[in-house]
Order: sequence, then C-alpha cells, then structure tokens
Amino acid sequence: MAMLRRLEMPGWGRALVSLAGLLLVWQAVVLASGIPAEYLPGVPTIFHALRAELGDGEFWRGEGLTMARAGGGLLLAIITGIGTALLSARHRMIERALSPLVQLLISLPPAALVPLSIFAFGLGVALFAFIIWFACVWTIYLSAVNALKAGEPIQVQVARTFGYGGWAILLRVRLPAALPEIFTGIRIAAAISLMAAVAAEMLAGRDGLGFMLYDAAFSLRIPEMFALLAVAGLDGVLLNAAILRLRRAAAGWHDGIALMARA
Amino acid sequence: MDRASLKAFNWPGVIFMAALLLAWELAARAMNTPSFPSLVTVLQLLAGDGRILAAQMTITLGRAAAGFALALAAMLPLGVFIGRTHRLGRYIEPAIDLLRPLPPLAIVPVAMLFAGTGSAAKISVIFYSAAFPILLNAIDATRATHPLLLDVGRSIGLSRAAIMRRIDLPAALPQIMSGVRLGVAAALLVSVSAEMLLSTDGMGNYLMRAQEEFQIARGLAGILTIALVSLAVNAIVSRIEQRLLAWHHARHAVVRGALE
Repeated sequence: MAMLRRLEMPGWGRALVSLAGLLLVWQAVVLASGIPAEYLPGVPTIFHALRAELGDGEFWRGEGLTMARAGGGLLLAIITGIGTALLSARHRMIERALSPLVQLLISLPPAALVPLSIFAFGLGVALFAFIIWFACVWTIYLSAVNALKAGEPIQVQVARTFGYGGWAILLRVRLPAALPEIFTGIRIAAAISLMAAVAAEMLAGRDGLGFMLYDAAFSLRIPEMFALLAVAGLDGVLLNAAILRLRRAAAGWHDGIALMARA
Repeated sequence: MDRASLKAFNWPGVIFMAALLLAWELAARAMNTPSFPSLVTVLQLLAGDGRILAAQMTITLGRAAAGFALALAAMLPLGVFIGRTHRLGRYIEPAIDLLRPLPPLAIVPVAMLFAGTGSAAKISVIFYSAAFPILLNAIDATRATHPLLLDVGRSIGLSRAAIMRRIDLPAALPQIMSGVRLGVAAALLVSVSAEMLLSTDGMGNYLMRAQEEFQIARGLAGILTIALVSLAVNAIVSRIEQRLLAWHHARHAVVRGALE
C-alpha cells in the first residue's frame, strides 16, 4: 500500500493524464462516428482554430468584454449581497422581511429577464451589469446569511463577555468565522456569473464570447465554435482559480485550523 | 417549511412583499405609460392568458423533467461507481473538473448544430446542466461513506455490486438529495433559457414573442408565472427530500438531543 502510494502521480500529473484522455476520447468519437469532419472536427483542427483565435485581436476584445462583464457583475453582487446579509444577521426583522422576495427571485432564470431589461436599460453596460448582478446576488446573500447565523455561540458569548457590542461582534467575530462558507457561495455565484454573461450576450449582444459562439455556429464555422467553447470552459477554470486564491488570502487561516483539528 | 415555521407566520415578509407590490401599482399609475404596466394590468393579463400560459409552462416543465430524469438515470450510477473505485476516480475527476465550468448555455449552439431547434436539442442542454450537480454530489457522498459500514458489508459476504446498492446508496442519500435539488433547479432555469435561444415554443418562446411585440405587461406576466411555478416545484422537491430522509433527520435529532 505504502509503495503504491509513493508511485502515485501528483495532482497536476493526474490532471494531464485526464486531459489527454479527454482529447483521446474526443478523437476516437470523431473517427468512429463517421460524422463528416466539417461538423465534428478532430482535435488537431480545433487546436488550429484555437491558435488562430489566440492571434486575433477581435477575439481578445470579445474575451475581455465577457470576463469584465462577469467579473464586474459578480463584484457588484458580492458587495450588495454580503452588505445586505450583514444587515439581516444584525436584525432578524430584515431577514424575515426579505426572505419571501429572495425565495421568489432566486428561482427566476436570469435569461428570462433579458427581454424586459433591454427595454429598461438598452443594450449597454447597464443591461449586462443588471442581469449578471441579478443572477448572482441571491445565491451570495443566502449563503452569507446562513453562514452568519451558524456562528459558534461560545465565540459570541466570549466576545460579549469582553464587552463587544452587537456590530463589533458581527464584524469581528461572526463575519470572519463565516468567511469560508461565504466563499463557497461566491464560488457558485462565479460560475453563474459566467453563464449569465454568455447567455445575455447570446440574447442581446453584439459582442463578447456568447455572441461570438452564436455567430460561429450560425455561420457554420464549426472548428472556431468548438475552439470558443474550449475558451468558455477555460474562463470558468480561471474564474474559479481566482476566487480560490482570494479565499486563501481572506480565510486561509481557517484551513490551517481545520487541518490541525483533523490531525 | 415545517409545522413550527408555519405557526410562526412570517408577517414581516408578507408585509414587505405587499408594500413592494403596492409601491409598484402606485408608481405605475403615477407614470401611466405602457412601458411600465401596473400590477393590476399584469394580473388581468395573467388571468386572460391563463390557458396559453399553462400550456406553454407544461411544455417547459415537460422538457425540464425529461432532461433531469435522463441526467439522474445516467449520473447517479456513474457517480456512485466513480466514488467507489477510488483509484480510477482520481483520474476521471480532473476530466470532470475540466468539463464542469463550461456554462450550460454555451453548448446551445452545439446542440442546435446536431439536433436542430426541437425538443431533443433543448433536452440535451438541460441534461448537461443537471448532470454535474448530481454527479459531483454522488461522487462526494459515496466517497464519504464510513469505512466501518463497508467492512461489515464485506464480512457478511456481500458482493461489490451489492455493497454499492445496499450500503453506499442509502448512506450517501442525504448528499445525493442535495445534488438532486440543485439539479432540479438548474433544469428549470436552463429549460426556459434554452427555449429563449432556440425559440419554438414553451415559456421561453412566450417571453421572446412578448419582447418582439413590445408587450411589456405580457412579459411580466410570463416572468411571474415562471417564478411562481419554479417556487412550487422547488418546494415539492424539498418536501420529497424530507420524506425520503426522515430517518436521517430523525437520527440527527436524536444525536443532537443526546448532546444537549
């Protein structure tokens, strides 16, 4: 057992094997399915298309727009969502007042708001900001409220003994304790933000990754479509990695304690 | 919603909601323009279009249900399998991590290319969106099964398949159900969105038509319908979850009671 474990590959090695396996399966499906290469291009063709995209300024403009929209809307949702969650944690009345509204709005598909939002905001920055903010904010708010409520009663009592007031306890004891779980909510919201950005660009856009994907599919530039799809997936990986890095900076101490507790 | 929370009726919530709706009505009356219809107008439309809305919503729900059912049937066994076969799972999992971040709606163009704009294309996009929450939770849940339970299973001579079915599945059920809940929510969201992009029928198409005809009140009626129906579906799923996991919650309550 011990020897086998030593022979096992590190995480990045397994990821590489996994990626190679994915590409192999793709290529095998292409060869075995008999679908013409114009419709289901092989790995080399898609790589070629991806290289062409990466050398194209137009692509980088669209990619930048999509990431800026997703990131901007997400940031807005984080600020407002956590701000409101702090108020809700401080005054239970606010939490109860908001809860039916949040339950109703969280079950609404963000894409469904695009048509009416176009009337309200036009096709500019405000449209994307609103749609992406709306898609993310309820998830962040709910996870933050739940995390803030779940705080250790002992910690709060200790703080009270030290003479901390309600707001001080909230900001200096309960908020730090809730940060790891709040970040879980933010990670889920980050994936949603990218999806909302792509959906809004498909429905309303004249630019951005979503529009480029749609455009490539409609003009039957199939290898380019698959290349853009790979980029969309990669964007998701990057966004997730960025949030994880932020989490380590803000709540890394928590992981250390959790490791110690397990040992 | 359990009985205790029904008893403690949420007055602040209801009052706040009513105040918002009243503010909407008053603001719309004050502005008096067709681009900002009043609540009463929207409700009248909701009643007048009731039959059409119900028919379109049924189509949307049917697709969501089909995509979700396929995802459940495929991903639950796969998740339990990957979770149980540790060594293999550690090579498959990075591939899942690579596929997962792809936004479900980004594969709409691919679905369109291979399956046109009909139900098959939409259902495959819904399948994709519901697949990952179910799969990931099933893997995690199976992996977290207490080793003691497995040893017991092995020592009474259960086969590997029997262990997966009779020990892993029930032990993992609580977390699997939270994957199912997320999967249902995703299926509903993506069902409407896919109908907007591949617009043939269903609620998504209803919204798109309202936009094309500049019928804002109709659009709002559609949005209200979607929100209320999704709310109901999610509540039903939570109910089923509580029913299925009654033994789990009961045991937790006992443990908690013993600790206090």
